[in-house]
Amino acid sequence: MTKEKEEVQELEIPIELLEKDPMELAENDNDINEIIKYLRATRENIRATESAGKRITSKSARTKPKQYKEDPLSILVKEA
Amino acid sequence: MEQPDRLKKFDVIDGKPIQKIWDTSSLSSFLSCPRLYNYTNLQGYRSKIYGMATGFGSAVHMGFEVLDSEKFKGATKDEAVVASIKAVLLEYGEALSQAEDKARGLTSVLRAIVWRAEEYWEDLFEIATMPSGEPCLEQRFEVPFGNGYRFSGRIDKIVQLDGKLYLCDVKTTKSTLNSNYFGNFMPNNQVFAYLWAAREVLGLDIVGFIVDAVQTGVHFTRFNRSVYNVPTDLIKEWYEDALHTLDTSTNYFNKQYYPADFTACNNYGGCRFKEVCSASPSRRNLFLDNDFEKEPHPDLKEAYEKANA
Repeated sequence: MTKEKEEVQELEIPIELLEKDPMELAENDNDINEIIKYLRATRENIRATESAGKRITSKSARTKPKQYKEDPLSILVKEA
Repeated sequence: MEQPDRLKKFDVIDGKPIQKIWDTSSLSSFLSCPRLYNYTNLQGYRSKIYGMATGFGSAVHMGFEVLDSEKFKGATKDEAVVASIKAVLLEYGEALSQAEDKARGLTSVLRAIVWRAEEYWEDLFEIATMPSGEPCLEQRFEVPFGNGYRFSGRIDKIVQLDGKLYLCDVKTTKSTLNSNYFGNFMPNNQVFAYLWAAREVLGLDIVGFIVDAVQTGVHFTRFNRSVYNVPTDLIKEWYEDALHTLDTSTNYFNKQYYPADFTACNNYGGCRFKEVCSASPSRRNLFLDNDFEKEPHPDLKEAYEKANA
């Protein structure tokens, strides 16, 4: 049985911004907005991970897990 | 006659330290173990082993306060988030970026601010307005508390829902925000003390107390709230108990003896003075000198300096 490879979009952590000198960062609205955009996206991913019933790992914040189109219980019942 | 600028939290009488203005932290410390209270609050011993405080909780508090005050002023969500992040970076950024615990570092604070705005920008609870027109945020209070003592605290915010007022306090924790966690606040010294001060002394028509909790992990932040409606007779009983506690503290001060309570040794992962109390009294100072730094409250330092001048 071959496993289909999913194309997973992974968020890039803005490490250089998160590790920037806090005083310099506070002066730069563009950098702050980049961080906000990244953190908002991580929230979506973590929420999706939680609603898919998966464990939160370091990867969960960066990737959105595959979502069930149907109720997970009905899938289990069908497969049984 | 020279008037003091403010009332002192601590004083020195006959060379011995005494607390004059109490708060929930010192009250809980005293109730938990009088010897612990003496070591930490009166003597000012701070552990060298325990990590340096990075101000994580204070940073989250500040971030949320800026979000609230910007919202009150009519800022958009995006503007409020940027203002909040800037304030935290300037005040706590440097210390937070040194944090060893990643669940309590700079990124965690920024995440808490951004996610908080997403979660609660459209909130049913509205920030109450002061008679001056200012938002009811970060209000300090200090009220008479028994025989010659005073009690102080800081109310994070007062909110209203359906015309009813609630005190609201932000708590940061690593614990899961379930019924076990929220069970810690009923009964609770802070909840009862703040309701007592607000209702009985400040005369505010406060219905209850809201614990506005934030769980921070390395990769996530979660939020949850619980409302505590505490009947007035329970609050009055708490006050009677508190007066009794103050009498006990005066008694210990007069005798200059603060007994240990071994039932508290293993609370919250273990008391940091466990090794000290396990040593014989004649050797305790060795442990205190090795593992702790002595940094008494500024009021006490000032009083000792004056006494020695």
